[in-house]
Amino acid sequence: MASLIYRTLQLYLLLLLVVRLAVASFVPSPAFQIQNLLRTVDLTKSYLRESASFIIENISEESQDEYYLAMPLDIVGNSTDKHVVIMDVKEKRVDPVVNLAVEAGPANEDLGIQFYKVQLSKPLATGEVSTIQIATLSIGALEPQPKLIKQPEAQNLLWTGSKQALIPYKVARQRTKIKLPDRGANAYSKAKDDPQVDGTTLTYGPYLDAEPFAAETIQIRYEYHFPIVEVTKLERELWVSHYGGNLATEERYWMTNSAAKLSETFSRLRWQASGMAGERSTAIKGFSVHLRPGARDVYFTDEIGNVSTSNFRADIRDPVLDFRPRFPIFGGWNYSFTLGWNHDLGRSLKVLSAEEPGSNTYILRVPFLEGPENTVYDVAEVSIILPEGANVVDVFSTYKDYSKEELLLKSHLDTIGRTVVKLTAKNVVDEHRRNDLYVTYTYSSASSLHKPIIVSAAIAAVFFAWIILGRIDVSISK
Amino acid sequence: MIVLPLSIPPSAGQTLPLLRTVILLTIAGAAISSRLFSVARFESIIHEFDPWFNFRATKYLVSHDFYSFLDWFDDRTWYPLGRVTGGTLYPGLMVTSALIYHSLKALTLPVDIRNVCVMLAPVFSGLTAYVTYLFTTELKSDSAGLLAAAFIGIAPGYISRSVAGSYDNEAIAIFLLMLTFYLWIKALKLGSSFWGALTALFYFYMVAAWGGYVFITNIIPLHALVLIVMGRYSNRLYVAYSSWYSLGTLASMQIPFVGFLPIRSSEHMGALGVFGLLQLVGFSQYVRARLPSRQFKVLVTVATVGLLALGAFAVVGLTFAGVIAPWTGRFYSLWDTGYAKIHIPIIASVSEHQPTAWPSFFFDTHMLIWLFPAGVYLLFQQLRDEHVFVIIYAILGSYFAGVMVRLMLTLTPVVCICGAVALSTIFDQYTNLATPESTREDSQDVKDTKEEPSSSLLNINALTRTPVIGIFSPWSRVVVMGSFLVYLYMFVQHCTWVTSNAYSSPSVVLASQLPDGSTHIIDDFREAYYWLRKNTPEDAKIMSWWDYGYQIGGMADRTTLVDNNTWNNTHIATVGKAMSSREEVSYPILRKHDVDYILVIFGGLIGYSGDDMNKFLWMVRIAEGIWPDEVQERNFFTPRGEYRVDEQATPTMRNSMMYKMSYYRFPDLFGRQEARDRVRNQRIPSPVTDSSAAPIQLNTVQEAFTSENWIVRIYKVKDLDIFGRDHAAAMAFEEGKKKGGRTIRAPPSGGHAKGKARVLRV
Repeated sequence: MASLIYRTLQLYLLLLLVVRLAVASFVPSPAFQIQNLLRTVDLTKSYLRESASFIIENISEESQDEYYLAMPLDIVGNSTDKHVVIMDVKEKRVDPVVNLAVEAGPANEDLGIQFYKVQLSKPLATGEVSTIQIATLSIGALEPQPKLIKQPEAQNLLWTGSKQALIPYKVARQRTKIKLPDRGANAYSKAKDDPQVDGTTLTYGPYLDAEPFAAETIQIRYEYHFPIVEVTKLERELWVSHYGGNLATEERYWMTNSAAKLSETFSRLRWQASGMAGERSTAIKGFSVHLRPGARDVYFTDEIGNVSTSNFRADIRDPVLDFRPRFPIFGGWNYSFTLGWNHDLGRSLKVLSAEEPGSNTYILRVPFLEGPENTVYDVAEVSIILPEGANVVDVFSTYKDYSKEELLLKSHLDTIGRTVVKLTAKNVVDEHRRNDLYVTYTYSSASSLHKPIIVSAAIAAVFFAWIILGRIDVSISK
Repeated sequence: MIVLPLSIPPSAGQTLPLLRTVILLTIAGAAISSRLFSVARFESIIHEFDPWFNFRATKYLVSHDFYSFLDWFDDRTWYPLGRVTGGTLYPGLMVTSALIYHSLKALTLPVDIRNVCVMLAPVFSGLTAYVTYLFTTELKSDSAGLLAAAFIGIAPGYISRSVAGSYDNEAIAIFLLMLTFYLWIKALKLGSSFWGALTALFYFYMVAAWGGYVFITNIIPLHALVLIVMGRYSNRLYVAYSSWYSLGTLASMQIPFVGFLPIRSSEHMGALGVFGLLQLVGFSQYVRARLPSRQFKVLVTVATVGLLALGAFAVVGLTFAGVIAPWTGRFYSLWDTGYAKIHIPIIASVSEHQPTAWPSFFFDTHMLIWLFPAGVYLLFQQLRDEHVFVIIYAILGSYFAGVMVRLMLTLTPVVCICGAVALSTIFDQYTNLATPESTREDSQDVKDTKEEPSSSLLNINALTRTPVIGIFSPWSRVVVMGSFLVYLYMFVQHCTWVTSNAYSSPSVVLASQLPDGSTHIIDDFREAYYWLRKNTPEDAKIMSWWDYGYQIGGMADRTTLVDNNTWNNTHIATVGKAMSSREEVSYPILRKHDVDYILVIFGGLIGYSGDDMNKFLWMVRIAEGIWPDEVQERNFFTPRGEYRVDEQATPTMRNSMMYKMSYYRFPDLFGRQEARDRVRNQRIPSPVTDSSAAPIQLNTVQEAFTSENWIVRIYKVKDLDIFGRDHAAAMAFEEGKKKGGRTIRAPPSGGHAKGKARVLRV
């Protein structure tokens, strides 16, 4: 018996090793050749945006339906310091442009590369071509240099990357275009007549006939005298109330500024002087959050009360919450605060169908995020709190990279507890504002009557007890 | 809504209670809503200083269980000593809030503990109004009760300590005070041990809630004593007092902070003495029934003299032996207003311990202050047992309110009650429509006399008849009632005005008026405290003057050296010394106490007068009390005896840490113009305007944070120099290096323009 187990185990381990070896040295078959790749590295924001657009040609014998993306292994993990996010992969063969499904593929530890498998919209026959567009975001790829600056001093960021795009296939021709903020680069890697400088844009290349995984390191140092806003944690709650016809939003932020830290202590005098001179600063002075139309009852608080420096402009079409922290948040400083507002539920909620009498199916549409712009979120928890007795049918979002939980929460005289859909996403950026979140749920009118009945019964019981007890004579002297 | 009782007489018995309930609810509503000015104007925020500690303690209680709260040793205050917080506080307030919070939680109502704490005082003021109604009803009548309830609901003297956010012991204590008094006279009236036990129960609650319970501990025995002396001893008194005293004392000893005080401190001896006396009197009454009267008289005389002498001797002896604690300083200052100033500067330095100024009596009670004596006089007219109680309360309350500003609070209820008694008597007289039959003739006669002066015979005739006392002329009715209605209207106006203008400022947040009339909020305190909370290590030690200790603990959540608890005078004096000495003297003190940051309040830029430079002399005085050789108040005054901070300031002043930290780089803000301190209205020496002046240099500390309007300035204490130099040498070396390099650009002038536009409305 024991030997059997032993042998099974041995076999199993062997199998594991084989699989692992096979996976560890995985390289996609050279089925494609890339033509005319244009890669754009956008350094104008506090995080790095990269996009590449290129034509793939099937040079193998049989038709292909899978294309592989390559990413450096060290930045695809779950670390919050450095991270890359694949925003979308699109294919344009015939109109219209289609989004392609991406799934994590094998990793090649020798090359230090993680592969992603992209399912093409339809198989690509030999010799056929198609256009692919990839957009990615990298968090933590930009480092302040030096790491400490004086209070009025300008901040420089350093980007270290490659001249070429990381492609697991042969590339016939490629260029890399680097977009910089308005003051341009103050130092960058140079070769003979490479790159060409045009205002705030650097163009490396063109490079012809590159081998798979070709990479030459380049560095660019440029002035970026803005804060680097990082939300270490966001708790976003959306309360759906059918009684009040209200959708209440509350967001709790734990924010830090990842810009260069101050080499000396903070001087109010210098800060007031630079504010007077209208200079830029790496400190977070505040930010505006454009809320959806119809936002009202806005509040902004932190752990010790109302943040009186903030403001709300109640424009009907474009309500703006101007959040100004109590003090400027310099590099390495922290702040935490809460924002909240209300919306009419009607704007976000639709009755999908009334399948059976007394029970409706609703669909709720809310943005995934609504916070400040140019911001990176390490952890974002989005909770949708549905009315008591609602049943979740489906949760759908165009942004997929999250984990989902369903919980029960007792609040506001609940007896059963209300259904909470909690989505946790890591390493998100403000651009996910565009992604909507759809929650489909059923809610019956019996459930909506549940609470009034319970509450009236409880009050009636109290009065009844009062009447009974009031009639009992407890006096001992007669 | 309410049907007039006259219209349907059969149901009047049901309508009146309904009307009463509606009136009381309206009064409670008015009491609560008039306390919400600060919430409406600012926000739901804890006010001032002490409430921040209570709030912090409540949060601790809510997150821990009750016993760990009682055992709470707080190592985040009084560093490095710590404070046995659980044993040195009155837990009643926190327990009340925690109970409310937990019961709301049990109903799954999402409520913030801060909102419970903020709203506690207004809600309890509504209850106080109800209890005052009950109390006054016992004295006189329903209508007097309703008037008293309305008065206490909006009287500024009580509002001053119970606005929303004023989360202090007094918030619930006045309710408990009135309730205990009510139960006491109820127990006395009925001679019921049940009511006596209830009195003891709420007395216990009061002991748990406020140090002012001593007032009850002394006023009830005094009442009993006066009744005995008046020859009004009765079994009712015996039962009520004995049940209250025995149960109440035992119960009060369960509070850790009180412990054995009720049998060991002088303040409690009166109650014990009266308890003993009552037993004797009770016994003598028993004996009297069984002895002939002559023998009895001798026995009573001998026994009384002997026992009194014995008792007095025992108390004095035990006090000297140290078994009974002598009176505390705070208690002495109740009898001698000059006592604190000489012996305990720390008590004298608190503004609410100052003697009351006369105008504040009117300010806090308006017209009631002149109705008050009239009410007391009317109580003398009837002088039932409970009236005696109110008279004693009135006398004691008036005295204490005259001695200490904060005791205005205990006077206000009795002023309201007596005022209500007086006013309702007037109303009863003047609204009594019933007129005796003969009166009509009389008035007719009087009218006739006026018209025909010649018929004097009739007039004499009218005078010789037995007079019918009362006011029957409609004119006098209208005039008196009308004028009192006007007074009442003015009273309401005054109360609203005082509440809105004087008592509704959180003092954490300041409001100022911009030139265009709009309000601007100055939020420097919270700005700096939040900065400390978010951007300093969690175990950082902050040194500041004790006034800000509770706020730092509550808002910044950092360890403090001293706070408003002021239990250790020496420790406070140490901080005072560090603030008032030269850097070289202060630095070792700072190092020894592990101080990481120093926080000072500076109002010179915008004219905030409650700043540290204005409190500085208290620091000096308190430090001088411990180190008379090292810190001398005289050295801070100019030879002409002036308190100056300009170029005439003494060297001791200019070299003190407090002066340096307040004015560090302040003149730079003004550029080429002269730097003016707006609080003291003096010119601060600046190298720009005055060539002989050297800029203030700080060697051992460096500026870490200054709030927007410069009200709060935080300095970081430097580590020891890595090369072992002293800080002055190290700074000089750095300066030398810096001069070779680039110079720091001076800020453009007009940097103060923003501050200039603001006028403080504190």
